Amino acid sequence: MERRAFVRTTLSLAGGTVMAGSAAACGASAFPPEGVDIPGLLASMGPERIARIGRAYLAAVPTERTPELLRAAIRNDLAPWPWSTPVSVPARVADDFVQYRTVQADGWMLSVTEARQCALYTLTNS
Amino acid sequence: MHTDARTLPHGHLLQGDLCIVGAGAAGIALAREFIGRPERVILLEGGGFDLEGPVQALYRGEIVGRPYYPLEAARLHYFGGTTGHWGGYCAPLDPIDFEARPWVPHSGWPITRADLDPYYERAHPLLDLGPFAYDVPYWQARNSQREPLPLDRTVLEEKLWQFSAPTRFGSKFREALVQAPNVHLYTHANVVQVNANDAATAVASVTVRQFDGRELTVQASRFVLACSTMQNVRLLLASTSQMSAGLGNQHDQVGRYFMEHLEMPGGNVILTRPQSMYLYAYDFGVTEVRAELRLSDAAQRNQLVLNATVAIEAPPTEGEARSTFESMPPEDIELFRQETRDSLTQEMRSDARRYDANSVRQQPLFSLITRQEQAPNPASRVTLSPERDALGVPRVRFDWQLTRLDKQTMRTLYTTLGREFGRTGVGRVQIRDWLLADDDTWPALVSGGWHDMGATRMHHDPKQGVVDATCRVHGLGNLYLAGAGVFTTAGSANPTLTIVALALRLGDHLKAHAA
Repeated sequence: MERRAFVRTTLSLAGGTVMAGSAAACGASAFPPEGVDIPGLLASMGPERIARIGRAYLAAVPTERTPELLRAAIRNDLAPWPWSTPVSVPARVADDFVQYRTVQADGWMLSVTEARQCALYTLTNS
Repeated sequence: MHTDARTLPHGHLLQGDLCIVGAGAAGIALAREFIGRPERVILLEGGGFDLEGPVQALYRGEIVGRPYYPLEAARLHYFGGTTGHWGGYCAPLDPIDFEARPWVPHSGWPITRADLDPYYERAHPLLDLGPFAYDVPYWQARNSQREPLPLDRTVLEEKLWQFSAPTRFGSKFREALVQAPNVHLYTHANVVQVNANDAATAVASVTVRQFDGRELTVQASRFVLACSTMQNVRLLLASTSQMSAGLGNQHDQVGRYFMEHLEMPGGNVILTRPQSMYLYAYDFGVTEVRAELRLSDAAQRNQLVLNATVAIEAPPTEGEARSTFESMPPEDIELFRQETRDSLTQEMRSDARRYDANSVRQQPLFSLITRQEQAPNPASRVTLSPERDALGVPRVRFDWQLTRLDKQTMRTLYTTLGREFGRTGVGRVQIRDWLLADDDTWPALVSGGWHDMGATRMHHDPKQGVVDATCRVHGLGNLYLAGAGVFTTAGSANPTLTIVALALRLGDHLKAHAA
C-alpha cells in the first residue's frame, strides 16, 4: 500500500471549514517572526518529518503556497480581529485540537496552525 | 490417576459422574475443582503430555474467509492445551462488555461483570497473577513511576494488564490431577462423537477413537466440552446420530458469531515532551502490570463504537516480526512484510529499537498497537469441511468476517488518540492511510490475537445462542461448554483469565446442582 500524502482541511466542526489563504495579517507586528516560522514540533519530530508534512500540506492546499500566505493565515488565527489580544502559538495549537481544527498530513493528526507552520518551514528552508 | 487410552481394548467402557473433554486451561481448571470430592471425574485429553505431529494435525482446517493463522498452529492439542505457548496477558473483561449495547448488534451477555468478579479473583492464583486489582491508583501507590498520561479520563482511560509467568497448565497441574484418586485422566483419548439419548434431550455417552480404529465409550451423568472454540463447534456439528444438524444446533446457532481480537498496528506516536512511559512499557518476564489506553465507556456510548485499546510500544524489529509470524504460510508472511514495509518509512524503521521506558530522549517514537473486540457477526462462522481428519471427523471450515463497525471503531480510536494527545501536548499521532479511509476496507492481512472466541455463545434465547447463563447447551440437560466459545462478546481483554473464571463458575454450578 503506497502512503498517500494528503491533507484534510474540512474537519473543522467549530466555526466552519478552515479557509486557506483568506486571512489578512491582522496584528502581524505583534508577533516575533520565529514564533510563527519555527514549528513547535521541530525538536521532537525532526526536520525530515516536518518537511514531509509541509510538502503534504502544500500539495493539498495550493491556495497557501507562499510564505506570506501561510504567515497571514497563521497570524489571523492567533488574532482574528484588530482588537484581539494575540494568543500564543502553543495556546492556538491546543485550542485547534479542542475545536476540531485538525488536519491529517503524511498521516499525522495535527492542528491547522502547526501544519501551516510545517509548510512554512518547508518553504523557507528548502 | 492416569491411563494412556491407547492401552485400552476396543469396546472398552468407562463410566463416571462427570466427563470433561479437553485438558486445556478450561478443562484443567474445572477438573481440579473436583479433586477430593465424591464425584468420579473422567478427564479426556486427545493428545499426550508432549506435542505430537499426528495429533496436532487433527486441528488442521480449511480457511475460506479472511486470511487467518493456520488452525493447527493456533491451538495446541496436548495436556495443558494452548497454555503451552500463550503469552500470559491477563485482564478481566470490562463491565460494558457484558451490557446489551444498542449500537452493537447481538451484544449483551446473560451475566454481568459482577457475576464473574469472584471467579476472576479465584482464577488469579491459578495463573500466578498478583492481586485482583486493575486500577491505576492501586499500582501507582506501589510504584510512583507508574504515572498515567495527563489525558481526559472521560475520553481515554487506562486499561491494565497483569502478566502470568506465563503459567503452563500442563506442567503446573499435572501432578495434582494424576495423583487425585477421584480424577482419572485419559490421554490420547480423542472424542469423535457425542451421543445423545433417543429423545435428544441429554447426552448418553461420547465415543473415543484411536488412529488404528479402536473405539471406547465413556458414559457419565454430565459432560463438559472444553476442547477449544473451534473444536467444540466441530464436535457438536459432527455429532449427528440423533440430530442431523448437530447437537445444540436446532436453531442454526452453532458456529456463528466467531470473534477474534483485532491486534494490529494502526499508527505511531511521537512524544513531544518528556514523559515517563513506565506505566505503559512491557518487558516480557519482568513487567508486573502494564497499561494500555482505552476508549472510555462514555466515549464508546457517544461515538457508538466497540471496546478497543491501544498499546504504546517500540516498533517491532524485523526479527521480532518474523518470529511472530513464523508459523504462517509464506504468502501471508509476504503480505505482512509488504504491509509493514509500505506503512513505515525508512526513518521510522531505523528508529525501531528498544527504548528506555523512563526517557523520551532516547526514543520518542512508539508504535500504536490496537487490541479491539470485533462486533458479534452471525456471518463470521465455523462450519464443517467435506474433508475428514485421520480419525474420520470432518475438519473445520473457517469463514472469518468483519463488519463496518469494526473498522469504524478502530478509526475512532486513533482519531480520538490523535486529538487527545494533541490537545494535551503529550504528542502527535500518525494514523495509517487505510485506517483513515471512511469505508469498510481492510489491509490484505488483518492480524488477530490468536484468540478464538464465540461460535457457541452464551444467550438466554436458544435462537440467539448455544449455551445458557450456566454454560449448559440449550435443549440438552447434561451437556455444558467451557472455553472462550461461550463469550457473547469479546471485549478487548485477552481471553485466558475469563476462560478460567468461567470454568470455575461452571464448577460451582455443577457442584451445587447434582445431576
